[in-house]
Amino acid sequence: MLALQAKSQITDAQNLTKDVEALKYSDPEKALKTAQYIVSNQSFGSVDDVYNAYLLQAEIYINLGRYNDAVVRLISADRLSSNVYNSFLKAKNNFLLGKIYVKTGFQNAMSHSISELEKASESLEGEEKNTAVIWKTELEIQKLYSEKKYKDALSLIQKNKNLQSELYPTFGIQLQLIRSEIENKPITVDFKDNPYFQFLSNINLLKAKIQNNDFQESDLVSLKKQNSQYGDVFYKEIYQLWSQKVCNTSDSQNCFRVRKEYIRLLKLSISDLQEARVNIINLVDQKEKQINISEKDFQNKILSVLLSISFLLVIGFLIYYLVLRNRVKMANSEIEKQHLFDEYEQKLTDQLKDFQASNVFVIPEKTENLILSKLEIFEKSKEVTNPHLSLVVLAKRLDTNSKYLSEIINKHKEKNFSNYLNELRIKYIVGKLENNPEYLQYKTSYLAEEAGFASRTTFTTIFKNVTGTSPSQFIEQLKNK
Amino acid sequence: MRKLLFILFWMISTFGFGQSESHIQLEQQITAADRMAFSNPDSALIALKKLEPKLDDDRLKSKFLLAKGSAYSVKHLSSDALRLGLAALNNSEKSKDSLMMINSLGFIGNQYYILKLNKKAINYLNRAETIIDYLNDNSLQQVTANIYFVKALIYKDNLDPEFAIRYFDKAINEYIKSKNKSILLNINITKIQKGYSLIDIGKAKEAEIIFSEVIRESEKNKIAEVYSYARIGLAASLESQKEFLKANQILLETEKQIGKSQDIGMLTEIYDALSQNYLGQNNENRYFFYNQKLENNLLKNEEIEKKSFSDLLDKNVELQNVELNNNRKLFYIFMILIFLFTFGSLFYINRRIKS
Repeated sequence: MLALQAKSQITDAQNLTKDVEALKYSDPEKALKTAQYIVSNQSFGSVDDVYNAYLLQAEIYINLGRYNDAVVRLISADRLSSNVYNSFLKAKNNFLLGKIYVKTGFQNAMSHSISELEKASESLEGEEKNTAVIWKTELEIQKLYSEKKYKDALSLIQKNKNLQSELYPTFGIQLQLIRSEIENKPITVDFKDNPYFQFLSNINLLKAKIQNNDFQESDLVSLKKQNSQYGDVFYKEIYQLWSQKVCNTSDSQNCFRVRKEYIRLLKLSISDLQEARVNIINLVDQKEKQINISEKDFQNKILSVLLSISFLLVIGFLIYYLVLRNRVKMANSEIEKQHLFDEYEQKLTDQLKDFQASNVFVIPEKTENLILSKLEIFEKSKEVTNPHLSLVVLAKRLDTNSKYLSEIINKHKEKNFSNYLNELRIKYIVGKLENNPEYLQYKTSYLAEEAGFASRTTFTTIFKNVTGTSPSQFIEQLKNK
Repeated sequence: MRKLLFILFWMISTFGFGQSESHIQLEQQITAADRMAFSNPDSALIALKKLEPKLDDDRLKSKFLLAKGSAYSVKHLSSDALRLGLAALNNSEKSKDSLMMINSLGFIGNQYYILKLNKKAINYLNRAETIIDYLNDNSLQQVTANIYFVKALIYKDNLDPEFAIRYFDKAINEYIKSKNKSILLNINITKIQKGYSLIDIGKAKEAEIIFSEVIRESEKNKIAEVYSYARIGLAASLESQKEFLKANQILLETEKQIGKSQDIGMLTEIYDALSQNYLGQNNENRYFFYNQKLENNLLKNEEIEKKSFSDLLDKNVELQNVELNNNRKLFYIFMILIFLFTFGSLFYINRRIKS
């Protein structure tokens, strides 16, 4: 619903814009008020509508010869320009600026406007592009005219007289007006549809009449009466020419009156131009500042992006370096640890060797034989399956010390205590399997427990080491026999 | 007359308030730049830019902003001048500095008057007047007088000569109270303006007395700036009393005196007055002669204005372009620095990694 309302409001603003377009020549005051309505109610239309309303006001003021008012409207339009993306309206803005620059004598700024207009028209297409080309041509002609290069201006008029645009239908008339100004001849075109250009044509006609001594004051009075909407400034040149004529005769009263009016209009027009110039200085400054600010913003953005990328790169590299350094540090520390460990181990081995070398003991033969005989008894006993049996426990049971027992097992059995005991246990369980068929039915875990092993896995591993086959294979082989 | 108004307004900020030696020195430098602004605004702006980093005091900052605003005003950049005036006002309001608030309000009022936005101008000047009345400080006499003067000019422009005269009188009284020799120029300008308002309400005789007084004063004190204007005013008062011959004599003498200097503005005023006089005398030939001279001068002046404004615009655009180029240079320098920093850092880190 809201969207529909907004859409209808935009359409209303555009309709009002069409009204302004229709009234701008016939009833400029009403057109200005209508445009002001769009401007005063900015929420009523889009930014483009408001911008265009300002441009229309400026255009009307230029037509009315009120240049300062036109510049003020262009300043207002310029304040909106950063939010306007319509190239056609921007081109129109430059066209109007160019026209004002011509009137106020800013030639360099005028050339700048022409190039800006050209730039803005690059993105246009079709009729809009055609109109921008026509605007540019008119500005070039106006420039030549203001520089008093009349011949060049006339040849450019001749060259472009057939150019037409639906969006700028008065181009042909504008050219005719400039031509009539240069040639100092009244315009011969019929302006039935356009009272403004008819009025300008009548002004030219009166000027020609004054020069041809064919002028009647009643003509001027009636022209003023019929065209009260256009203001006094248009009559300045008529009064100038008329005063020159009348002051050269003996009609002193008319000379005073006409001359007074001419000087009043001259002062009025000069004062308007001077105020317009001051405002143009501000407008151009505003524009230049905007360019500087937008370029600075752009530069700042680029610098920020570059700086961010640079920081990210440096920080990334730095992190990579730190990680790498940490790894190297860790590896070095490991190597160092290993090194220390090796050194320590070597030291210990050396110490052990030294210790062993310095602590060589001799077991008396009698004791050795006694222990050996006790070991034989132990090997045949079920004691081998005692899971809590250790070197110390066995030494105690055999009434000897673990040192002697270990030395004797190493010497006579050629293995350490652990291997010796494991082999005895495997032999025990093998004997049981071979001699008691019921053992063939038992699970490996039971056999391991029976042999004194704490775990089935240890039992299986040691069984395979001792017999060359796993317990299950061994049982299978026995079963097959 | 507007140029004379500028002369008035730099007077506003020439009072001293420095505390420490460095502040006094800075204040003097700002005042010097402020004075320079009226003859060479671009140089004044450059001088002020150099002073900006040294400003550490709110009052100095406000004064600095107003001096900068004056330079922009002379360059016809009214919107910038107004922006700076408003910034100075904001600054002085924040620091609760009544003296600088009055100065800022006066400056803004003057800028609005130059822009012919008289309602806004009166609004700011009234605010300044309210603070002045509240403070009742004798050291503010000169500022007060300046504010009364601009208010009087606005009333004069708004075709309210009686109210204008009341404010011209108030301004003259304040100038006299301040007993400062430098305000002699201001008093006489105010008197001239008052004289014209007196003519407007038909008190031409009173106006004649005032203009004669200014002529005497300016001769005595050698104030060349107002002498010719006072003589033109005297002729206008005589013309109002229909003493055309006397008026003509004064005008012709003045024309002779300033003829060599080719002061077009002044000559235009003289020719305008002379043609009015001859109109009053029904002397068509002399009227047409001087009216043509007036026309020529108006057109000549218009051409000069056209050229000077065109030059001013070109200069402003050039300055903006210089700023744009400087920004570009800075941008490229920063880019290079960033690249150097990045590649330098990467190279260094890379070396460290390799090592």
